Amino acid sequence: MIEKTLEVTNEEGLHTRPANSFVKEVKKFASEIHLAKGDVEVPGKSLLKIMKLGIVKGDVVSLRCSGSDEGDALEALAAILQPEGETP
Amino acid sequence: MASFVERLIESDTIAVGLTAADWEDAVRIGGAMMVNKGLAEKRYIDAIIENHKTIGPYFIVAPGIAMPHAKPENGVLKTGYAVVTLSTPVEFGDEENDPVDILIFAGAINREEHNQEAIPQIAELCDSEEYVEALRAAPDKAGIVAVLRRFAAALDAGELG
Repeated sequence: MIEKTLEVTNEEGLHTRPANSFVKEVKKFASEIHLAKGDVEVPGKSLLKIMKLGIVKGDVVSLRCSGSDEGDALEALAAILQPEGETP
Repeated sequence: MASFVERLIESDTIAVGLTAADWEDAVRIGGAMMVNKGLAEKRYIDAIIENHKTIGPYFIVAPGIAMPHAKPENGVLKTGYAVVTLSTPVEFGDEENDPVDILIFAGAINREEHNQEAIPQIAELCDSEEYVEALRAAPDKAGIVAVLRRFAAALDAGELG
């Protein structure tokens, strides 16, 4: 399992549309993927559970990926949370 | 944060068992309730429809459930909601979740209320099979209100999630 903790810089936070993109990306990978905010960890493939986290710009979240393509998954998903040009 | 359920009941923007020609008609019917109650300008509803046509079904959140919304700057006047149930489901073009028979409209006055009130509370509701089934089975507005009050009480009591 690999983990990355990062600050969400996506202007929109992770509301429906970005969360949708995130979930679609998660489903491309074989790895088990989880997203955590504070003490709450949810499966990366559940749109509703991600929406429930209420992630806004500036929140610190942890991405946890476990599986054969965990490195690629971590990189691709981090890019959605921190879009190009918005990295602090 | 205020309660999605309280705001919805206060604005009285609930319609049950409607018939819609297609997804756009369903969004216009629900959207008209928000406009009539002063929650949003008509252009907010136009934005939802335009976005859907441009980028696809971005607001279908679960099987059978749509959460039509656009950005605060698209014409929201006051944070508010509307709920529409359809007697005959309509297709939104989302393979995983079509057809849709519950629409939960949201319009937030700013990003904070959108991300911290509207999204988490509606997601909580949609993530509960018990309440979703009860909403589908509700025969009238009073039935919907009763289900939502039960949901809000459970949410406040920390019984969900």
